[in-house]
Amino acid sequence: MDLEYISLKKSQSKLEKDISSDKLINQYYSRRKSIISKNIWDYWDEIPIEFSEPMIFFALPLSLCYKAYKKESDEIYKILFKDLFKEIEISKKILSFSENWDNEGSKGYEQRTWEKKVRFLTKVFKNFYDKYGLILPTPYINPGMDGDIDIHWKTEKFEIFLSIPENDDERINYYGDNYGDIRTKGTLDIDKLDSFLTWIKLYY
Amino acid sequence: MTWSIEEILDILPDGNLSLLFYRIFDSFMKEHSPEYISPSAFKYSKEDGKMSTNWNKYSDANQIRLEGKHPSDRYGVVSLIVKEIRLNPELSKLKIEHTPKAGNQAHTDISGLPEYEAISKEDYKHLQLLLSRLAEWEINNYLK
Repeated sequence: MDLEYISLKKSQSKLEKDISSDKLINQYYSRRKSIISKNIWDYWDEIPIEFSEPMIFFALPLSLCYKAYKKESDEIYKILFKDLFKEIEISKKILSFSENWDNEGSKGYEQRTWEKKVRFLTKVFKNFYDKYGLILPTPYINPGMDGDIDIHWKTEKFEIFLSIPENDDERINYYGDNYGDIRTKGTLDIDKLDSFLTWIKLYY
Repeated sequence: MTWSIEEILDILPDGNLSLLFYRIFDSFMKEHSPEYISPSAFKYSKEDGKMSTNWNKYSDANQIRLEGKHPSDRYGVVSLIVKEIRLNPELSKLKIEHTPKAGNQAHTDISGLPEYEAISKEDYKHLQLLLSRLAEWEINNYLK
């Protein structure tokens, strides 16, 4: 695990180094005319010469660097969270479960619930990594009740079990503990994950 | 033939522990993590609000597999120790009732889960987690 993590960190710093390399600046010069927005050119003559020069040499390359960095970041996340994306890929089979898939009356699963689950997991993993520099353990993804999709983290130190609801009006319900008296439970808003992530970090 | 309803004792007359066998559909099993027991698999039946199990006094693990509505090889079977369920204060609301059926003297229901409608979803998730922690695989095609 540690070796794998170190190797991922190395590939991340390599990618970051590439971003600041000449390659990117060259890319900027070859593409700048098509990328610079029309609005800037519309007002270009009004920009005092002392500002326009620095803008073209610093601000625009920086903004392009940022765009490239963002794209590269997504690539980094794909590398860092490869186990998560593998589990997500495996869980696609849930979408083939239609009504009464178990012959015991269970409901089928909708594409948008599955997509909601992917959005949630990607966000949790990214936020946790950005906040703590750590990669979350990969959770299990299971068919839940009433069209909900269940997510289950099971590690040596903690378990968290939650449902991504089919119903958009419903929030994510979760329960977790450290196999002892320290518990967490409630509902989650996908845009407010801080306390949830803090709890996981305590028992990471 | 009708069977008499018996009290489910913690220990069987032969000195072995009372076990309940529970069938798990393969959609909850993981080929890449065969030991894994999913809490999502512990759910009550929509028909009667109970979890259907077989008591080891009159059944082995394989019998409940054969009673599923899919081919038997699509199921795994876990066992739960009756005494462990009863000793867990957080599972005290669950009732274990011998409910023999025609052709199945071992049939036993775990009820109390339907209060799911009355308790919060997160508390229900807690119950499912606790049951999954008590369960052990008896039959699992992925475990060689």
